[in-house]
Amino acid sequence: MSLEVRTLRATGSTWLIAGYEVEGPLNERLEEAELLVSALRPLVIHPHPLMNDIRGGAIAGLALRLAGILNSVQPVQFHHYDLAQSVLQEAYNLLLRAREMVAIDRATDHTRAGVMVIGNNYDYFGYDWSDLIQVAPGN
Amino acid sequence: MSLTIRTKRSGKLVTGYEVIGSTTEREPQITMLTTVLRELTPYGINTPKLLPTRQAMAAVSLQLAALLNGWDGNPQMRREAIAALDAIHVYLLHCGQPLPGTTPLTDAEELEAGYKLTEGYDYFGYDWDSLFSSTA
Repeated sequence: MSLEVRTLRATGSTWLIAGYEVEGPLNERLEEAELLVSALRPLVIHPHPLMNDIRGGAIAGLALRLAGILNSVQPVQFHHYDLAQSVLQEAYNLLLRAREMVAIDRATDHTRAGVMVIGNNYDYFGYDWSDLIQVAPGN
Repeated sequence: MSLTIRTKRSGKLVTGYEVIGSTTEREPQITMLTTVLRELTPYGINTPKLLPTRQAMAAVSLQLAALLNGWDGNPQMRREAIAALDAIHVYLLHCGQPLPGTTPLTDAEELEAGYKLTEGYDYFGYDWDSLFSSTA
């Protein structure tokens, strides 16, 4: 069987993404992990100075995919496991900061537009970070 | 039903991705991958010294192309995704050249950035046919 990445939706939600389930041969999962580390690293090491919902969502999405893979491999199987963990930690820290920044911007925009923010789920860029928090060290 | 992305291979070469899921399910993935490509396209990136490997760029491109194949969602989103694919395409085709306005990387930096490719990976381990057919 080839590598399969399945999107998991949060319970009771039709749109909040709770994470990714990854299945397939170990070598393909490791290859995918390498690619995700490579794509995610520049985005979190040198984030765009103008963070917004779209950029935050992209980082959250990639990070959760990587977390989904790391959950299915042992640290000794992936020689970049430590690097992946540190990239995830950086992503998590960045998202926490971005969430506050975007929330401020969004509040301003919404105040200008005369609308109210609906619910708290938007503060997570459309993703449930529980999985990411479990994988990121020190959380 | 949730979205499923399945890798298609011919030996070691990744020939594309099969996507199973509705228009609505594809949208968040299309938005995510379009944004990632835009942020990582070297001509627009704010830090050309730290780039993803070209394999990673090719993989993200092909996944986005697969999501767009047969997708009948928001036309503006589709245009933006194809523009991002076109830009990364240009880069991948010319990626042997130093980027305009940048200092060439040292060997150590190239290794760090993942520039050193395995022999035989002329297409970065990916068959680009589906990418070309998506953006034509």
